[in-house]
Amino acid sequence: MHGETQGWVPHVLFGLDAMWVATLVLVATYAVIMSERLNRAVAALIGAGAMILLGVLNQDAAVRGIDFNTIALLIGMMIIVAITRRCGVFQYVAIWSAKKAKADPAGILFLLQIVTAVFSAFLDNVTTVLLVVPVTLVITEELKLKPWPYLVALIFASNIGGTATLIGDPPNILIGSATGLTFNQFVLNLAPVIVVVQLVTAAVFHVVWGRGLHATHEARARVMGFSEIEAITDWRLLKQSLAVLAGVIGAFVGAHALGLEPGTIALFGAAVLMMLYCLGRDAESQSHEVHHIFGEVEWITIFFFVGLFIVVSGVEKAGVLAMLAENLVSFTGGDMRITAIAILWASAILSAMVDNIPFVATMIPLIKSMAPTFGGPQALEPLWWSLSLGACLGGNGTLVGASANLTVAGLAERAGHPIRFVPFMKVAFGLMLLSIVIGNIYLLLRYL
Amino acid sequence: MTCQAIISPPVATLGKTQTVEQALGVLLTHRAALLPVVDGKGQFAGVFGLREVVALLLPRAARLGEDMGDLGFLSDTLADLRHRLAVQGKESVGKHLAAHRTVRPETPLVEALLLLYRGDSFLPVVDETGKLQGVLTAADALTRMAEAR
Repeated sequence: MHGETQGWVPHVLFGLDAMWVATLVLVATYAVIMSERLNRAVAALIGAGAMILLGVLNQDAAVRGIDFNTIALLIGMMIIVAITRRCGVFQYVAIWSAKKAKADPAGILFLLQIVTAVFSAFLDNVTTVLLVVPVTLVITEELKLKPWPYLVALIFASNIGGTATLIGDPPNILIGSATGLTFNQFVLNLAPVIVVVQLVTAAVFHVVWGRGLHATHEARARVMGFSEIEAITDWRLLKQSLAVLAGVIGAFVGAHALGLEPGTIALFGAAVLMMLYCLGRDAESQSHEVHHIFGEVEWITIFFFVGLFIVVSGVEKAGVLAMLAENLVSFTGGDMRITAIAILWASAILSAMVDNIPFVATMIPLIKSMAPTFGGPQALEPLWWSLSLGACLGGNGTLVGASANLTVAGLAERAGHPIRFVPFMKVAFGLMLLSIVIGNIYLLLRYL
Repeated sequence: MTCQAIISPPVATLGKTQTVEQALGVLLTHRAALLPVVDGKGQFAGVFGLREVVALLLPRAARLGEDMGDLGFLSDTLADLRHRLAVQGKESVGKHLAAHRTVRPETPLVEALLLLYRGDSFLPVVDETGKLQGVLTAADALTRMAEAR
């Protein structure tokens, strides 16, 4: 069966050249995704269908193109967070940090960034901002401050923190899953530079905004009067979810030794947490709760990935990516240093403007096919870190650069504090470039 | 049968330019939970009621709905809330209107009953120019039916 699929030779409709048809489908799909005229999941699925209907792939080949490790990891983490957030622990930590800062506006700005970055390293960025932004809005309102600098800082922190680990941001999940780089390798190679990027960014926010923010003594007293313990709504669930989260992260760290893939760990963790959540409930209540929890999985994201995986595998199968890789290598003269820096900057600029997930999904096979030039897959490691840093940090450049940015903008709008495209970009693009400069220096010092 | 036959005048209407404080006074005097709001020309502008006043007592982030989670960590006292209401009470009703479904005089009565059944407490009746003609409530409709027997 497998041999048959591997031996699948595209026979495209009307005898057209597979390479051209696949390229056309890819370009058309990406154009529709970028135009935002059609929901991105639907656009990706249409593209995937076209790859099969036009004969670039058959169904077997298409299904083999879907990386189930990525899908399982995403779904698993989404379920774990959907349950964990119900106990109020994230609100607790945000309020706790505001009080630790003695309700000083600048201190809160700094600590909320750190809290967000740390959450984001282990949770999806969108989820992180969904958890932190509402309580931030309450705090800034009590302090009678404009929430703008806080919201922008949280956008940055969520994208920066997410870059630090394999599970923090979808590009890293994709890279980790495709290359077999472990959770620990991601932490050891990316976390050091991410700590620097986050501290530098926080310093900029402090100098430009933080130190100019003042709140009255009375307003600060009101924030100090918040009772964070009241934010915890379910102690039993708190213990269960923290235990499962700790177990899952522990298993990520030990995954290599255990011979487990991150997708298995996350989805199994999700199943265990759902089991604990269900225990002691009657059948009807169980199916009601489980239905609700599954409903919180972001299916748009999941199907977007499914569609993209198929589109990209069609392009790969048709030989387009290998050709592009050859061109890129001949452009950089096969020089590792130039290639790595080109990938870093190109992914940063592109990710600021368009969704970084399709870009990374396309770049992965492209970089993989450069292996012979650089002397085997092992030698490619610096390129993966370039891609990750560029794609994840680049998302900070504009309001549409990453989904977390749009989520914050949506929440802010609903709360009556809209964030506009141009004012955001004026601040964010420069700050994003600064983070890429830091990433560039790090790559040069450590790998190149 | 259409709504035309059942329309009754609202117990009171609010003006867009009235302050929240004045509007609250009208709501409480008439023991009304929700009243239609009109502009200077009698055009229907939306509704305003006790729920909108309560919203003003909460942090703005409460408008995020479920995303906000709980607010149990806030420890506002009655004095805090009173202060908040005093400040917000100076704002105009027009700034805090809620949208509301309306019916036309020629809307079939059964359609209006369906909307009442689905949870609307009353229905502003608006003509084709957008002018408020009156309101329709379940009590009005049922009273008329009892009379007709």
